[in-house]
Amino acid sequence: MTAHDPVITELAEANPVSGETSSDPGDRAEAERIMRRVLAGDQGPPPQRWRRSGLLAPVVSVVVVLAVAAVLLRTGGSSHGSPSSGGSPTITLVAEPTSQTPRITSSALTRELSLVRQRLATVNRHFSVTRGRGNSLVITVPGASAAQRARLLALVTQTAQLTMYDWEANVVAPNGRTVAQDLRTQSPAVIALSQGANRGAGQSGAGSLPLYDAVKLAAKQPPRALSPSMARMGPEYYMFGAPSSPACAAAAAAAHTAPVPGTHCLLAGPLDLPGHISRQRALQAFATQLSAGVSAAAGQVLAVPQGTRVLQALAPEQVDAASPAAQFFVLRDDVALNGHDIVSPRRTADASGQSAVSFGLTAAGERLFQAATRAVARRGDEASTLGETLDQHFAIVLDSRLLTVPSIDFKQYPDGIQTTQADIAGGFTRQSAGDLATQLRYGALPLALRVVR
Amino acid sequence: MGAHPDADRREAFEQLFNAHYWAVRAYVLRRAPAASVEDVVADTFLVAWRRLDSLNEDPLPWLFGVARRVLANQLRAERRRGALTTRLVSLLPARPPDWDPPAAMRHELAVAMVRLSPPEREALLLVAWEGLEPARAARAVGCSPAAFRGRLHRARRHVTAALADTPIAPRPSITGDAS
Repeated sequence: MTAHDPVITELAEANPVSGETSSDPGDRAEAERIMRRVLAGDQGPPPQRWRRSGLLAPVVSVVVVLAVAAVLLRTGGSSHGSPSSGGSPTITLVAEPTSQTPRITSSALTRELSLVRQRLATVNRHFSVTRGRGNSLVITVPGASAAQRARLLALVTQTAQLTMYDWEANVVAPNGRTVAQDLRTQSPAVIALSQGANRGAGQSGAGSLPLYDAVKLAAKQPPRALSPSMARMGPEYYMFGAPSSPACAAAAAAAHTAPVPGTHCLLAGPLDLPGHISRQRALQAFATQLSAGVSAAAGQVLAVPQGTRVLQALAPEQVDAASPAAQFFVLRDDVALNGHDIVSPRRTADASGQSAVSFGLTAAGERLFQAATRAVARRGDEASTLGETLDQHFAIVLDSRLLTVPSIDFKQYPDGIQTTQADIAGGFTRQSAGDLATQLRYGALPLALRVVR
Repeated sequence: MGAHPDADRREAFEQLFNAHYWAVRAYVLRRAPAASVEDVVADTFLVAWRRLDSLNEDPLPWLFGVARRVLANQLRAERRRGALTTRLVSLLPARPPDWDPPAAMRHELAVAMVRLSPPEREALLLVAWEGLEPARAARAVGCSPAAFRGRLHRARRHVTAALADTPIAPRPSITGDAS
């Protein structure tokens, strides 16, 4: 009665802890400690942590509650802090080479300037950008609020590589196979990833994973030979700290946050390093990224091989990728279309007047789009059985973040979508449709930008 | 209790521990703060060690039941210690729920789960998270299989009804203009 019950299925997908045997050294040490504690005799001292001193415990509790009350009183019971003042009217950024543009040239800087100017205009028309000394750009933001400054910094520091994937053909299930490979099994994990578990495909909670689990799954994928359809070249390295480890505590302190109990923390990365390197070499490369007080030796290094990507899930509210609340999917890196295949994205309205996003396709993009959507539609037709429709999806990705994962109606488009202009509709507000159109318009910045002042 | 258990008994315990440690740890980790997990798991297996001779062939549901009671005892102890804390907490704008939903759970489902009674919530979680069939889950909570099925049915009905009141946002789809 329960195998396909939607409530049970959705709860199972939100299961925060795997019950599988852990290979983490910290977890295994804990298991051995517990075994020794039990076998050493049950007359030993009471456990320290939860049989705390009867005298001290209330004192600690009272201090904690008073601190919480003080915070709540200061914020008026709201979790949102008050906005701070705008700060300096200029922001200086320095351009750095990327894998796409390994040398900083005058023409690359000119294109960078033009794209940054376009992006700034989406925040405030009065913001401007000029070339500074050397390879720097100076942005002038008169009267900008802290929120506006944060938004524009997020905008201009994204190199913005726009890619599109056949979702089910690339998203990887916990067993390491793609959803498309196992669609016939209709296992709960596969159905959650494909049909989105009451939320929508690609959404946080619809089969998504915390970063550590996603990177661990991705790291088990075999490396694939470089091909033109890949968005990334070479492996990508991450360094994690063990749950409740001193390294996680030190990293959290450096970031002015609190470590999240029971979860691995990201100490450094992701880092692109050429080819396969030794653990020692990876540790050396990470050393410059580590927070003060964190030793490289304390970290667990995981490498996501070429041909696999870890992408941040969609969420009702944007979550920073470094936040413990962020969720991720693992995808094979077989890109169907790139940002340069689409033109003139804009907010529009569908037939019922609801906000939507429309974009045109180049001649090459038109062919690629039809081929990709044909594969998606045919799989949807094959997977759907009488009375049950399993629509398949197309994912649009900006850098390492999913932007939207729309479905394709295989009954309407059995041979894919042949068009010069595509529309994405459903579930958009005026604001979210405008934001998506802006993100599609970004175009890839040729150079990376780092804030220096 | 024996300070020097014989080798057979020790071996039997090690087999039990190795077979079920990770499942018990996951059960506790899903329901308790990480700082308490080691102690709760240790106390659970301490009880198992003492009752080793009376365990049946499928001890996992029983272990979950022991862990649940250890957790409940911990909570009661915290509440006794926290009389003053409770008074202060009551001054805060909102009383915290007695169950923390995981971050990945969508808001509407989390609200529905928090509103369930603890036995109904546990029934759903034993099936969804621990993967137990109702007959085994019944042993974990110490009731008959029929009573457990009734509890599970009520829990599902309450959650389904709560979710039915939630409007489902339309999902995006992609179409093409006629070219």
